[in-house]
Amino acid sequence: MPGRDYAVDLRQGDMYLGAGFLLTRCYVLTADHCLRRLTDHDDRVSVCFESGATLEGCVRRRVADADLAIVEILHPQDVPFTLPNADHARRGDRWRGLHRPLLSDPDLGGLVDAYAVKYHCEGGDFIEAIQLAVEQTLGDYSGYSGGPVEKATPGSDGAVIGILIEQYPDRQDARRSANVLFAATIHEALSRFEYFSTGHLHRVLKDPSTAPPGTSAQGVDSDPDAVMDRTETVLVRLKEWSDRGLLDPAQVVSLAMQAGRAMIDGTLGGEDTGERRNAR
Amino acid sequence: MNGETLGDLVRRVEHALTDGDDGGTLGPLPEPAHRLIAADVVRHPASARSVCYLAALLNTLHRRDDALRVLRGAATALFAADSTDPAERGAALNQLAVMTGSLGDLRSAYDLLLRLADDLPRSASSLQARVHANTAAAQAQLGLSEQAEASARRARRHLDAAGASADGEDLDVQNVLAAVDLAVTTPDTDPATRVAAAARFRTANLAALEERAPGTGSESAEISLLLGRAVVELEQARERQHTGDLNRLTLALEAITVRAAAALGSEHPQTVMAVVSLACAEFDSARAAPEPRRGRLDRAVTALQSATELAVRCLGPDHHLAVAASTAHGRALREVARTTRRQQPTRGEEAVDKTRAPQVAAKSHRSVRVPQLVRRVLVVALVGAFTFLIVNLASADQSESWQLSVSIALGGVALLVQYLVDFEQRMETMDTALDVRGREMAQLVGESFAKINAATELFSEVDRSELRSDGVVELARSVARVSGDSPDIVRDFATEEINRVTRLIDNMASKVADCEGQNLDWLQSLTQCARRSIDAVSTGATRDLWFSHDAARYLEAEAEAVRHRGVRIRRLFVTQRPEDVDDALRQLCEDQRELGIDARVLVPSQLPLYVRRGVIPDFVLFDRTLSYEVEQDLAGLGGRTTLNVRTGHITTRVSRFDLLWEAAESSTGDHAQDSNRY
Repeated sequence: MPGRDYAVDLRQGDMYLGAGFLLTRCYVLTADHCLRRLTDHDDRVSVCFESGATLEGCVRRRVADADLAIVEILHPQDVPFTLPNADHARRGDRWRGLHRPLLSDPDLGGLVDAYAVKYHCEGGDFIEAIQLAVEQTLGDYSGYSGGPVEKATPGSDGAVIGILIEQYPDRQDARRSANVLFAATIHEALSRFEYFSTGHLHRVLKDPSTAPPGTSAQGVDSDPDAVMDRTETVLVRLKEWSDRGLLDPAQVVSLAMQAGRAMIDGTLGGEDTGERRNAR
Repeated sequence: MNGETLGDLVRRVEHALTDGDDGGTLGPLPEPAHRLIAADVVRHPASARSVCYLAALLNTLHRRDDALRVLRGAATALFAADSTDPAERGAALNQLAVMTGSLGDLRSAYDLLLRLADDLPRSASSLQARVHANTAAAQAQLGLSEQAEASARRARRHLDAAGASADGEDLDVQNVLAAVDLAVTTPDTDPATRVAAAARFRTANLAALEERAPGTGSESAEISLLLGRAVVELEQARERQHTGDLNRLTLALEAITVRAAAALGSEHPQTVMAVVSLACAEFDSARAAPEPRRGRLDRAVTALQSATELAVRCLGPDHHLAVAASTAHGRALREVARTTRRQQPTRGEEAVDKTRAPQVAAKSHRSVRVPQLVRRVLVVALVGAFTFLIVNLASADQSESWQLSVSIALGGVALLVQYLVDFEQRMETMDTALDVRGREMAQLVGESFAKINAATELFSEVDRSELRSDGVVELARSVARVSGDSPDIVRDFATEEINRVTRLIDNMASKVADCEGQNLDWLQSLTQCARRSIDAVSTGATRDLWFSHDAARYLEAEAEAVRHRGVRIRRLFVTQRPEDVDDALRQLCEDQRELGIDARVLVPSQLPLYVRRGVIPDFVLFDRTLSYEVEQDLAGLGGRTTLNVRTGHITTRVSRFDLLWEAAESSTGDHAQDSNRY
């Protein structure tokens, strides 16, 4: 999603898997069925940018029911930064696809027929989808799945509104597709992956151990004695602040409990604190 | 319009939005629509939610003025509605105030909250806590740190009085208060205090997040919490210059921003706030990298430019977030340019470098000060985000569409950076001068700094005084515009007027001010400033006023106060003899009644002795806190006008007025039964 160079091809070795696009510098969104040729027991993929750059990625989660999957980029610091640009759409907005299976294939585009409609997708689940009328009557839109759907606004850069996942069959001739396509909304896609959930993001914000890839926290000491010394220092400091009236007794107790819990996790290797269980 | 309800009106605006006409065919809301809204909210204070929703929709259609007018009208009607349950009315006004602030009119929201705080029943502790917490948030955003701290203390007292049960409402209030505590800290604050404030914020933030059961909370509320937390952690990481944490948090903020855009839309104020914060965070991360790469810095600057453009497009060029983003962008541009210069020193610059000792100190000072401006952006995101929660809280039982739409309110971000920006620009100018001219400019810069410091100190004092600082700044600018080329008479007149105003304000500081003769300008201004009530006793000293040309202007101001601000006006005409109650006086009362002024006539000689004992002065009580009084001279003319705000004096005047008012029978029309009744 960031920048113009956010639509990518996913490959495994020399094998083309399908299209996808960057949601952030860390994560690539794709349609699950694009990964059907993925080799068993090997989640590593190459993320290929239009600029020619290729980065290493790893398939983190597949949601077959909703036909969505997410690939994590292992070195996100190598992805150029630009601002995210997702958006909503309204009926009648123009849309365009950014991905072509081959350079000899046409670009797709047309009008948004309905936004955020409940759609029973082939994966079996109900999803929040966008119904798109496509102007290029090809009869078969295979190969376009996984690509980003952009809202085309005159005079400004496009904004991503969804991921193309399905074509609708012609009811009179099932061998052909009608000029109706379905895309999952970005909101739907994000809701399917815990990386964007409130609980996960909150843990990332407060806990370096859940940091995104390539951003290992500095200064984290795993030596049990060091952890206990650090905790002792924290407790002494808390008492000082309490004596100075900066914290009330309830806050001191709460913070001391957290420090103690963190110390136990640090020395015994516990991971799932009560706090984490509660945070979604 | 005929027969249209508030719900119909909301649906009509919704259709305008969903059909993509962007408000072009909707047209301005007609006067009947505003009356309809005011009447509806008086009948059902709970419909303030729908009014807020309507305002949010109008704002999305780029009709901010209409949106603010809707909110103002509803608030005025509610204040004027005595029959409404005070607690219900207070809750509704709190929502209207927060929405007003969210649409960028923070000063009006602040005024509304202050008035509301005076108006609330003491027993409504929980509501009092919310109102004071919101007031603190508004003050923090306005840079009124001391007042914010005082309001936060009041809010906490009310929370305690309410018996702080750890329900969602209290948690959200505590979250706002924790954000305010953190927002009012400065780099000069004791580090332990800052760390403790951050710890309190984290605790409150976590509690608020945990309190929201999965799937039941509003997504925008969760995004607010996450955004606030990210901003705090980024600030801490920046202070520690911890590169790993800065990168980690920037990536997390990126995910939050994507989620905000996907859930709320790219132009939602909350998304805009996230985008601006993200651009600032990326710039800081790029700058803090051990070996900053020029390409990354350039991209961060481009992102800041895009974020600024987005803020200007969505919130308007004068919105404080847009101004702050623009300033941060300017700073980033300068920093990148300076980095380039450092990497490619010219021969001239090398020569200047040898004479730069004084500048090093100046730059060192700036390196501490400048990030403060970016920090302001982050503080705004922090407090703005949490202020929103209090509105959202009340909507938990509403439909998702309501929750999504009301959250359009966020982004209220009003930050008084105007003179900070000026300060920044002046600093920039001086910095350039230093680069070009070298040491000989150092003395000049030192003097200029002293002037700026004096100006900053002055403005700080203005801020602390709770006077509207923009008026004072405008006065200072106007004085500067009266140039030396102006005629003598213009300069002398301007000087005399400034002296007069200075004397008045000086005297008001000692709670009494006076002047020769009857000062109708004061009367007019006070009428325009009154918020709640005007109680007047009109004796022979001012009787002639009502039959002069000045009366029309004064009555127009009173009628405006009644109609638009819900001010209650009571006027008691005092005559010495029953035969003085003539047709002219009856007509005068009738005319005033038609303007919404409650007028009565009093003939002291017909009253019991205990009432008529003592003098009956000619005075006007404004909001029952300031008395405007006219004393007659020996010739029976207006000899001296006095303004008095001394508590003892006001108490006496209030008691006297109440006694006289009760004594005078209210008029019921033209059917005079006796000399008092007409």
